[in-house]
Amino acid sequence: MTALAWRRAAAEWRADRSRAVRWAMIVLAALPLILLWPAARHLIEARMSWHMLAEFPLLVAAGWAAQRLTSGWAPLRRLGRHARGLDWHGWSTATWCAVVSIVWMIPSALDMALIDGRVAIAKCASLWLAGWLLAQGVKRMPAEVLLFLIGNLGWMMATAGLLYIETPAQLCVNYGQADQVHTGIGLVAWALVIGAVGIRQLMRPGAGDESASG
Amino acid sequence: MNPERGAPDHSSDGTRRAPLASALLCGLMLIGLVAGLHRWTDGFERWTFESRRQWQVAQGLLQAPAVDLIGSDGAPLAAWAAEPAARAWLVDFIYTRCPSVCLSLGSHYQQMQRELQQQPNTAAGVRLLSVSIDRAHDQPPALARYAALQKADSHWWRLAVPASDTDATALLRALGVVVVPDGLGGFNHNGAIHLIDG
Repeated sequence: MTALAWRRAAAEWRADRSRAVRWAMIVLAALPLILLWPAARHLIEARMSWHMLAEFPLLVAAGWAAQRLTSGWAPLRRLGRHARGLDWHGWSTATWCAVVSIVWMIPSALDMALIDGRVAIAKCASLWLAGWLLAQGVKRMPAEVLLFLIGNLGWMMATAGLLYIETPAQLCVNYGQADQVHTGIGLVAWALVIGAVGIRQLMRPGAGDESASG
Repeated sequence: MNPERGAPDHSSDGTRRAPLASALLCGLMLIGLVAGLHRWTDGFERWTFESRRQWQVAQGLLQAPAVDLIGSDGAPLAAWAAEPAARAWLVDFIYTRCPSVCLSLGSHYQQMQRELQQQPNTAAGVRLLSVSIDRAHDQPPALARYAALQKADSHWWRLAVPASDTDATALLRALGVVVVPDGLGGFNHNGAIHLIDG
């Protein structure tokens, strides 16, 4: 193949991959809609491990994907410019993520999300919003704020996980002891993953410099 | 690689107002979190559903709704909604196929029944009621067999099942009773005895 043909093939491959990534993000952004189907929601939320270790990250990822897909829309760009004034160096994003993660690790809050539809809606909306804010906010965060976010999230998840493992009593009335222990192990694992991803983000060349403009 | 990555942020974050506004927003979120948690957990004391339920019981905040029940004889049972009402009902939630918690509750109820039978004047107006959480299986014939097995004296100890799923949900939710299928055809549920009076 000539060099020109190689360049064309490479451009086509990049375009195909870009389309594939875009479709994947559309699917990811739409996936939480499955929770509107009662049978699916019951299947996922019947186990504490699936509820906390799969549904929660899915909601955050869906919010993130939705923001990335719509970041070029003019109305949202204008809204984003105003919102950036309230998220200096990603402070508000980090605070919101911390607040949301604290609330939904409380056993009684998790139980209420299964019992009361309003609490369930608040859970989904708050986690989705955390993902939306992270999609832009994390780029504004200097290393210190990113470390705070990662450290706070990782510490809370690990602590909650160890508590779930070690506590002899059943913390949630909707879930059994064995499920609680499995969830605790999963939370500790997620804490390690978040820590690793965060450190990788910090070690990237130019990490933290994107917030230099303010 | 993220094809959606936008341009670096060149917003007006460098102005003095931006950090102040962000700090204010963060402060509001944190104050809201602390205040909300303080209220939800009753002063950071009650972090689980069961501990909140027990606190609500102690405060007299739980009210049993007037629901339709069907007794083990197949007749409607008004229980605490009856006129005249018994002075107090001691209510537990069971299902007849339960291999563990319900059998333990049953032995407690047998002891209480003996106490009531031995002091009928003192115990006048006090009744025992076991409500089934398994509407699909525990219809009156099954309840009658269970009552015979437990030696329940119908004057003191009645067994019943909610007349509809709506009644069951209303009653369980009002008293904070949570029923979770155990995946083996049975249920995990709170094993408390509820005093319904006044």
